[in-house]
This record gives sequence, structure tokens and C-alpha cells, in this order.
Amino acid sequence: MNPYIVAPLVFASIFAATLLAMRLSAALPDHHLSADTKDAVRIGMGLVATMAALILGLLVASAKGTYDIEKSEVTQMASKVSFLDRVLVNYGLETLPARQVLRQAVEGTITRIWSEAEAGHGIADPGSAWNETLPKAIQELAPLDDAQRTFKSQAAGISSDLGQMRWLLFEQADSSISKPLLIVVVVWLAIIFGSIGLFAPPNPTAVGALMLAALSVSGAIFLILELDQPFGGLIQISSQPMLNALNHLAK
Amino acid sequence: MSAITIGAMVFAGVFGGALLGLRLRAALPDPHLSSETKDVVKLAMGLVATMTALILGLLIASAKASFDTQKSGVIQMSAKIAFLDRGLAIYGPEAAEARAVLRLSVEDALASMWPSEASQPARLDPNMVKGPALYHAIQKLSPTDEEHRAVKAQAVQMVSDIGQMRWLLFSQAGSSISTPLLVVVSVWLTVIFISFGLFAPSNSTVVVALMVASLSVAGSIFLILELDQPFGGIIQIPSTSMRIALEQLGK
Repeated sequence: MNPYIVAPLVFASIFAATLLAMRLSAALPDHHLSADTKDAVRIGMGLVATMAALILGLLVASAKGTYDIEKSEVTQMASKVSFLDRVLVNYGLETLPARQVLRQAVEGTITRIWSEAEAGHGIADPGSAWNETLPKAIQELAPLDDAQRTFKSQAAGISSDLGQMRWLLFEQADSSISKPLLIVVVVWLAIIFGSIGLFAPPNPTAVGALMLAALSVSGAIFLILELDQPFGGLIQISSQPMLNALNHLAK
Repeated sequence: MSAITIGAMVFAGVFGGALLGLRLRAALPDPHLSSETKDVVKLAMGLVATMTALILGLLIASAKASFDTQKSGVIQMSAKIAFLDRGLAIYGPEAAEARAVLRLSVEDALASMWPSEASQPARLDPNMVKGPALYHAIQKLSPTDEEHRAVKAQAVQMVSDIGQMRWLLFSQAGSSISTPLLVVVSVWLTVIFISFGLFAPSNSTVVVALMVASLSVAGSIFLILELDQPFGGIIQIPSTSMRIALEQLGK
């Protein structure tokens, strides 16, 4: 779901419900809009409004939470890449081909994740670099002494962690926001704003305030959808940790 | 931009909004400010205010959680350093060189992660000379019996754990708060405070109360940003655990 399309739609429907209700209140007979009616509507809608506010708040926070988890996976992956490279350096000069493979795998990951997401394709599958080429290059090392044996088993462990993390990132790329949930929340919001509009005096101040409030809640929907696609759009996980790791690999 | 600058900007924006609301009240014709309008604005803004308060609270909680994670990373690293030194002490006088190298690299890490001059930014990237030197110093040990072999294997494991933690701290350094999120939340706060000002009588009690409230919400933004950079600013991860570990070294 594209946040730039969904959020304006949400705003339009909420604000349209408000204006419609204001029209309706002009058409309704006066005794339908008495102070008692107003109180009754307000109590009912107060409940729905609190619920909607809570849910919107929690959805934004949980979207932020998932975003943070994926971000920390990227940083962990970057730190493991740097550490693996150090281990290979410690092993000795024979690891040059393996380090070359590691470097290519990191470069490939950066293009496959960030460039693809930039182009709107979502993040691409891990390919063979982490799961075949790199472990093979490490397995081909023939350790001569105890130290090299330790380094080799360490390197093999880290490279398998890296392969798992890369797959995890790929699997998590799917959206976690369900359409029905979003539709229900938007319908609540439209109802709340409609009921507020029903008792709103038709002056520009009231209309302006309602418009700002409608903008704010559709802003929340925008944030939720934006955070839900962490590798694209306005709010995105930076590739900086990976680029830093790549820089260290060159040393 | 530092947390204080952004916090001050948010305060200025939010309090400016409240003052704008107060101004607007004087400028608007009376029918615009009837009790009916007031009710409408209160309801709509109540929704936005509940949502914003919830999101701010949750953002602070998550910033605190990630701060705590990094803090416990530092503490674990210190514990491992002290434990590694004990292990080397058990190994015997042959490990004296490795212990000296360990001491040097801890001193180096302390100096770069917590620079003595406050103006200097903390450098988290692991030292590319000292780390491997420690590795090699430990690998050079040639154990003759079972006990020494076990101690050496443990020491190698510790060094690798410490190295991984160091790289992880380095990769975690980036900020997790994105500018768009911050902008959206600040706009919400401003809108809410405009609506507060709109229906407040303009006396100094009201102005002071609104000022204190804007200070509080700007303070929460400040806290979020401050917690987000654990090795800089006012709220910092203390170097105490590392210093205690350093004192223990060589005993």
C-alpha cells in the first residue's frame, strides 16, 4: 500500500464525512439536535474516539518497533561482516579469495536491498552469495595449525549467521499492516468526525479545526504505512552501517 | 543538530502555536468562538492529543530500551575483559605479554569511547592495530598440558566475544529517530497547542501554564533524542564499568 495514495484518501474520506454531517445537521429538524441528544452522542463517540486514539497510537508505536528491529538486524549484520573480515585477516594471507567473496557479497546485498527498494520492487531475495559462495570459500581453507583451525571454525559460524540474517531480512519484508484493520480504523474515524460535525456550528474556525484534526489522524496512518516499508519511502533504514563495513573491508 | 537545539526548536514551535491561538482568538469574530465551536474543537483535538501523548510516551520507552541494551553491552564487555585477564593470570607468567597488550587496548578503548575533552566526539570504531595484536599475543601461547590448553581456548573465545561486541557497539551508533517522524509529531503538538490557545482567556496564568506544558512536551522530544545517542550529550552510558575492569587488570 502506497502511503502517498492511502493517506490522502483517508484524509478525504474523514473530512468528507465531517462536511456531510454538517450539511445533514442543517437538514435535520431542530429537536433532533437538542442538548440532550448532543450529550448522548458525545458520550458514545467519546468512547469510540478514545479507542481509536489508543489504537492509532499503538499502531504507530508497533510499526516503529518493527522498524527498529529490522534496523538492528542491519546493524548486527554489518558488525558481523566487519568481524568476519577481521577473523579472516587473522587467519592469514590464504584468505584473500574468501575476503574478496565477502566483499562482493556485501556489495551485492547493498544493491539488492537498497537499490531495489528505491525502485519500488521491494527487497530482493538473498541470492547465492551468503549461502553458497561464501561458506564454500571458507570451507576451502586448509588450516595448518590450531590457531588457524579456531579461526576457520569461527569464520564458518559467523558466515552461517550472516546467511540466516539475510534470509530473515528478506522474509520480514512483507507488510505487517492488514487491510481490514486499516479499513475498520478509518471507518471509526469517519464516524467520529461525522458525529462531531453533526453538532458543529458552520463557521470557518470549527471547519478549520476539524480539518487540522483530520489531517493529523491521516498523518498517523501515513506514518504507520511509511514505517511498515523500512527499505523504501521517506522513512527508511539507512545503508550506512553496511557502507561503513564495506569501507572497513577495504583496509 | 544536537538534542538541545531540536528540543528548543520544538518548544519554540509549540509555544508559538499556543501564542498564535491566543492572537487568533482576539482577531476572530465572537460567533466563531461560541461554546458550540469550543465543544467541537475540544472533541476533535482530544483525539489527536490522546494519540500524540501515547506515541510520545512509547517513543521515550523504546529509546530508553535501546539505551539500556547498549549500556548492558558495555557492562558485559567490561566483565569479559576482567574475566579474560583472570584467565590469563591463571595461565601463568608466560601470559604476561598478552595481559600487557590487553591493558593497552582497554586503555585505548576507554580513551576513544569516552574522550576526556567533552568537545571531542566519541569514536566507536574498533582499533585495527590493538585488537589483532591481542589476538596474536594469545595465539602465541603454546600450552603444554590439558589445563593450559583449556585456559587458552577460553581466552580465545573471550577475545572473539569482546571483538564482536565492539563491532556491534560501533554499528549501533547511528540514530534510530528519523526526521520525518519527528516533524510529524511536532506538527501534531503545534496543532494541539493552537487549539488550546484558541479558547483560553489571555491572562498571564494561562500563558505560563501553556509555556510549562510546551516545555514538558519539548522535554520529551529532547529525552528521545538524547537517549538515542548513548555516547554523547547529557545522558551518556557511564564509563564506570570499563574503568573498574581496567583497575582489576594486572592484579
